[in-house]
Amino acid sequence: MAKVSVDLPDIENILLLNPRVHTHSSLVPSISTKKNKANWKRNIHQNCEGCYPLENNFTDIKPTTLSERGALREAARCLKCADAPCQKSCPTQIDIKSFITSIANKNYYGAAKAIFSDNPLGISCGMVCPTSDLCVGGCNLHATEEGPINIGGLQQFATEVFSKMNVKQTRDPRTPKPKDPNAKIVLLGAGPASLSCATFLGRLGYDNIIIYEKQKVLGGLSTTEIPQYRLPYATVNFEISLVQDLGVKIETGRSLSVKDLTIEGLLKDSKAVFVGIGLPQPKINTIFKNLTPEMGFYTSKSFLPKVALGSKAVTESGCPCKQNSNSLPKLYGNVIVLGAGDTAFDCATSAFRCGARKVFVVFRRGFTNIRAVPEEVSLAVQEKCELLGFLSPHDVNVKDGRIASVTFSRTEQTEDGKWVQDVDQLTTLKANFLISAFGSCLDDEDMIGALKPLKLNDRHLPVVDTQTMQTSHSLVWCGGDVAGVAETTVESVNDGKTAAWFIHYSLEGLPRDSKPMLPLFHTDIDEVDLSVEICDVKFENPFGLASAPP
Amino acid sequence: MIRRAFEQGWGFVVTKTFCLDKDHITNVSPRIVRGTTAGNNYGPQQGSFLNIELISEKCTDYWLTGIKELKKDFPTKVIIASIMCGYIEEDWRELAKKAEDSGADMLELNLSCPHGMGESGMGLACGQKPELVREISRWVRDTVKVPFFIKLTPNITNIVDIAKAAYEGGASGGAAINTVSGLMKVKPDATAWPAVGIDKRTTYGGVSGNATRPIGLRAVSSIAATLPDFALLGIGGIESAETAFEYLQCGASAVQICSAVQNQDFTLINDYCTGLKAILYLDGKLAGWEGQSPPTPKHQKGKISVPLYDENGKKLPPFGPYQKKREEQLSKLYKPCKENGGSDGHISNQNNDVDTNNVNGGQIPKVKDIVGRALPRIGAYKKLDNTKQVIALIDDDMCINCGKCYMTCNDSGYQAINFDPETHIPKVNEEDCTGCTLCLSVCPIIDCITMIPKTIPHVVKRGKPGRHHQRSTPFS
Repeated sequence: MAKVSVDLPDIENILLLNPRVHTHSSLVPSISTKKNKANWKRNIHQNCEGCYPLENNFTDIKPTTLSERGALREAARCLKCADAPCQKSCPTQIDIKSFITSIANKNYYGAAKAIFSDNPLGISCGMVCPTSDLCVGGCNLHATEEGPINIGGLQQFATEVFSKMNVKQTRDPRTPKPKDPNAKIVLLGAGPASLSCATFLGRLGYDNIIIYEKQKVLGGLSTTEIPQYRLPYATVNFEISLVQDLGVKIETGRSLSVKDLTIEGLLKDSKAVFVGIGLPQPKINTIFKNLTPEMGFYTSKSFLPKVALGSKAVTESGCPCKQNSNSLPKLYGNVIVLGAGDTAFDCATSAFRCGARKVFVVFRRGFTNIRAVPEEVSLAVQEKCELLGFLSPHDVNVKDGRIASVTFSRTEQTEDGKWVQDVDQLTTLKANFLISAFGSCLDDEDMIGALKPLKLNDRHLPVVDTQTMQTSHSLVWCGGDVAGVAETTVESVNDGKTAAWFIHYSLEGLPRDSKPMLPLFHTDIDEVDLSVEICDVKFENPFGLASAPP
Repeated sequence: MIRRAFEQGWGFVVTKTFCLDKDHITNVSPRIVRGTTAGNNYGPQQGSFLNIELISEKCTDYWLTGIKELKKDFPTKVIIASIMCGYIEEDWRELAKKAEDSGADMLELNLSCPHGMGESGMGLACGQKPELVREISRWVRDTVKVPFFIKLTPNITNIVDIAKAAYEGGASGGAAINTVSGLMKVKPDATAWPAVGIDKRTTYGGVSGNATRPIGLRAVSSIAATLPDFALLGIGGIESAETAFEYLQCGASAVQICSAVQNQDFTLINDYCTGLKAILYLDGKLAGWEGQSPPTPKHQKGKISVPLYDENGKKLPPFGPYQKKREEQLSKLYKPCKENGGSDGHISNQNNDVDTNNVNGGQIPKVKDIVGRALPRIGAYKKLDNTKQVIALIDDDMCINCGKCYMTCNDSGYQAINFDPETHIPKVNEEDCTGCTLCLSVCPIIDCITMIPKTIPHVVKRGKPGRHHQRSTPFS
């Protein structure tokens, strides 16, 4: 008999997909499920031959990026441990546990303050740090099934929210003035190391700080090599504005060179010089010697800056095509990238965005020897880069003035662990383009000459005291790639931070065992008065402990 | 511990309650247990705690000496001595005087400990009867010069009655709320937790933490609305600058924190101070912001999501065949202009959503400007406007297609949401939506559902007797 209490048809219709208690087992033939599940797949890239091209698409691809919801959930999951290992694993010693506490409490300013206090380039580092081997590598939640915290994503989230608050960095008025606030301090290169060094010196009260940059654009590697989809230009720009808030001056088009700025020349009127010029030249295999971009050959040093400047909205126009899409290298067909470092994988993912159809990353050793961080490798794999190991370039085959293919020999590891090339085992890969990403060096004679009188090592790099970042000259410090210790942005930032303290220490003539006292990040928000009077009793702030044991 | 709290930056402390030596107590164990109010969440950040800890076991002199020493070391910090006695005039006079003489800036009379002490005629036994509260307040007012607060229990029909009695007795203010009496957990073997002794007995304990905040806010706002010149210290689930700000806006001039520290450590104070400074600094400055939260841009997983449609104008969700179509369209959109024959439909790689609106001038409010700011908007049901109705609007660019809104509307609401069988995109039927807001309340994505003014006439469907003609209503 029909039930009398049924709903009207329109309601019954709405209810069609509402859950019901199962009274029987569900039967669907496998062939149907195979078909049906296609409608719901959120992992469509797992196996896709016909993926749509990424050409000119420079939108964020970081899997760590978080929305506010994602950030709040992740922050709530963090244990905020005692003597937290994450902080100990951060090259800049960010108080991670405390900034995540602040995010969990929706205090994004507090989080950003904690981050910038130890790392003036906190947004960049949140985006590009190889966290799996830094902070995240020590996370105690590794001991639980749900795994470690996405610290980089949280750092990015909090600092990006802060960047929207329109608040400037200020000098904490409580910081004691240095003896000689007008001492001229010169920094070479406007990359992470110098920006960090200048920030801490600015916070310490120095008023005459100038950064010289060779390029027209600022930010160093962050701007000229790290692709837009990992580190947007607006972010770098914001961090530079924080440095400028402290009165730091920046001049572009000035380079360390015997033809322009030399250490000797700068020392004439500067009280301290910081060298943070990075490693400007590519390392090149001799078999590539006569190859040119017109033939289809790039190095990471000639390819990535083109991609970066072409993709980053340096001209502040919104649409990528409206800016310098002409300056983007135009690729097509097969692209071979040589190398297994982070730069190689940046080249590979960038190649897709320049029009490559297929990208092969080819490296000399095995998969277990890949130097790039897992984050970068997995991004490349997700975008369907193919990885080929144990191959070493043997010959480049040029046809009609263009690269046609590359011949590789097999590399093998002998019993005693030595790597050898076996030229009897040759294999040839067709290629339209070849990008060599075998690292960088300093071999420009004009630059090397300009480093006089610094003592240099056999790689032409200044010899530095790795505790203080001081060079052989008592008024010259050094940091970032050119100092030979840093391998990441965050380590470069820390070189700058370290050097800043020892520059101050030296200018002040502090006693040997002085405890470093670098001022925290400070803004007008910190000057807000929290005091309140209750029954004529003054409270410094309205927060008290209830039921406090003595 | 108080010394360490002051060193980290806490503004004041209320001591653990102490008593005259003749009333001294001995605690049982176990006595401080995890809350069960946030589901099966095994830390961090417990949503509540329950404790059956009594007042301090330490002798009176220990406390008096301690307060004296702390005041000497931290003259700018405020120490509030929390004291408790039975309903005995000499006792209250004696202990209050001693506490004042020790240098305490203020006193808090604990008339509200919900467990144990009541059975000895102390704590709650005094705090639930207005006459006793009035009388004790008179004795203390008559004995000491320093301001004193009555710590108020929420375990009563109307907390305002007790506050009024304290006010009439001369108390300077109230501290609300003490813990809420409760039974946190009963295990399958018929023992409750905490289970004490061989018999595994328990007693009703005090629930504290996040879960008690709505009760605390109700208490503070209702007292503040009735007694405008009665100072209030807010207590109950304060765990951030944001939650402290709620209490301030409801009429508390300062707040007390305990459970949040149990969940973490003293350095929380730094977060609270920077957080409160930021909230005050940003107050009214940035359009669309809520405290320190910026408006949510259209996104999926934190990445800007571009609205895309199929050939029939139907929204394309980011999965299955629709995602393929999305990527096809996107790859065209990103092609350089000249290949595409124009700039139409091109999208940006940048996210230029920095909003620089300054809505409310440059004045940064002080804490006192905030105290009680929300009170004019809190009051009787009859004052609520039932002519201004709202309905739900779902942003299908942010939707993750879970159907939580759909299910709750079906089984607890008014059956006003359609759920597309192909795309799993929910859509609210404007005519049927009664604006109850249940869908927004269960939606997992911030700002995916918003309540917007209803533009069509609001016709209440009253149903017709005898005929099942109407959507069922779950609440009466």
